[in-house]
Amino acid sequence: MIELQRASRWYGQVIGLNDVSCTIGPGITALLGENGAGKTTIIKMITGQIKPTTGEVRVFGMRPFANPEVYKILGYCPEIDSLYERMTGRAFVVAMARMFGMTAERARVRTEEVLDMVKMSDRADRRIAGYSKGMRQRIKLAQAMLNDPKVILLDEPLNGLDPGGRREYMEIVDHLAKEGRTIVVCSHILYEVEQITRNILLLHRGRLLATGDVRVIRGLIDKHPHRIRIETTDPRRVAAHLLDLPYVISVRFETTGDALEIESREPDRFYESFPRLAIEHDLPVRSYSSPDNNLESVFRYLVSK
Amino acid sequence: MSGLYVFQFALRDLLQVRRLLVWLIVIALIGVLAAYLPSLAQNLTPEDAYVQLAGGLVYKLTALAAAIFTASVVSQEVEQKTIVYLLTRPIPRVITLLARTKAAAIVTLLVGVLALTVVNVAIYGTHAASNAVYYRDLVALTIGSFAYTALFLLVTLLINRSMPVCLLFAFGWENVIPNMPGDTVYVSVYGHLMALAQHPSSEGSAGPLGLLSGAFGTNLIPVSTAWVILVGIVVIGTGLSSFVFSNFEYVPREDTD
Repeated sequence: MIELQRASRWYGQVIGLNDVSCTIGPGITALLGENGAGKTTIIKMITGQIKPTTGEVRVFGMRPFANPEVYKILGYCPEIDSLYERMTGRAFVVAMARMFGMTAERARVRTEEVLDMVKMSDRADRRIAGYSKGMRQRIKLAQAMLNDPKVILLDEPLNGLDPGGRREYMEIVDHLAKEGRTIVVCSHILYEVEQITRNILLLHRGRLLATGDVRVIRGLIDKHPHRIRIETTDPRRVAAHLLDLPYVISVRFETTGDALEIESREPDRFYESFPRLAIEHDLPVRSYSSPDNNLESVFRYLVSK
Repeated sequence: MSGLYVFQFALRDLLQVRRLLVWLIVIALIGVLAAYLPSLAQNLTPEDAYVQLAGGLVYKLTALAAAIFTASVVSQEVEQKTIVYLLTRPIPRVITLLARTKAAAIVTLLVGVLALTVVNVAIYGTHAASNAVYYRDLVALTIGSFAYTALFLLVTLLINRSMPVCLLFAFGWENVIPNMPGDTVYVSVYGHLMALAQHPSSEGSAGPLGLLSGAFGTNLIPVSTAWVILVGIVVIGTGLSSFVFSNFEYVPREDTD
């Protein structure tokens, strides 16, 4: 159980976290926010690397700053990719295990177990300096699981992982959560988070903006007109077909003449029907994307309410 | 047990060939200088040459080694952003700091002793073992390595990018102060080390090596005072450092959230 009570953190004149209170229990909780929102500040407070300027942070009732008792039950996978580059992945994980107080033999056995879990056993004898970002993520996760922690903190864990790697990583995290652990995942990508958990803490500029089920927040977003930009060589013909759809409420042509932007109140229905429409009528669509389908639009919407 | 492993981990890192290569080259050059100095400067006896090279180069090399190896204790880990792995292990910060500091001090001592031994052997050859000053130097270098390490450790914990400050101390302060008249020698570590080493006064000490070995000043520090001051630096330096490291935050900078 992790508790933050009116926790604030200042970096000189800049506030990193502003009066945040929340409780994080077993299962997966996503800490969601743009860069600079305060996610890493919260993680650093929970891992006892920094202290709150005001307020309290407790992990299983203990203050975490420089507290070895907390580190016995905590696994931390930092966002930064810096590792001991000269070492091999296996030597690094063994070294971390030894620092958890394990004997050489126990450290060796446990290292094989966690390397196997993150599917790095066959690549662990290469120097870390030659690792890809995805391999670094796996090694970081391996060292975070060494002590069989009750609390696992994963800071931007999916960065650099390929689609297959992401699926495997999510499966591992899901498995760990089902064992009753408290897992906090930091991310700035809503789509990623939705695939891991429904339980989110939404941070914006150091403040806790929303907590709870991601579907509720999704619903709020969907009530808001959703913009979709379509690149096409014939914007007028595409617009004529789109305006027939009941859930398209406006169309705007871009001055460049090769794109248009629509607004829809039901983006999910639009995304479902638009590819079919384009094929049926042979519409010359190069690409389509939504500038609203990201966290920024969530924040914009929630802040404006 | 974890503390012992932290010590071994730090020691292995410091003893990498890549890290030690430069030191070995410098020590070899000092050895070459030691072998040829008595023949180059005709008025120098082997004893004078030993005193000037030991006092002028070996002690300064030890101070330099302390400055560089001490940086690996905390500040290098912060810069490499690997400090997070050390600080999130269930080991009290004091233990982590002391274990890593001990490793830095031992490697500093290793460099100093190796340089001193090379100088001694290069000058005295087969009679090196009978040089009594060498043994006093060994004692002084041992406490000196720990004193410099303790002092620089505190500086690295209190000041960001502390290396220029440590180098300025090692080469500026430690060269200038022992050559000044009066009791100013008391405020240099080197002055106290010389009090322990009790080098005999050297002929032809007016050269650059004489300047480096503090031959222009007067050093009347009693041996007992030197011991008290040097042990005090070690105890107070590591004590304050332990307090600072246990209570201050050490996180890599350029992190974003």
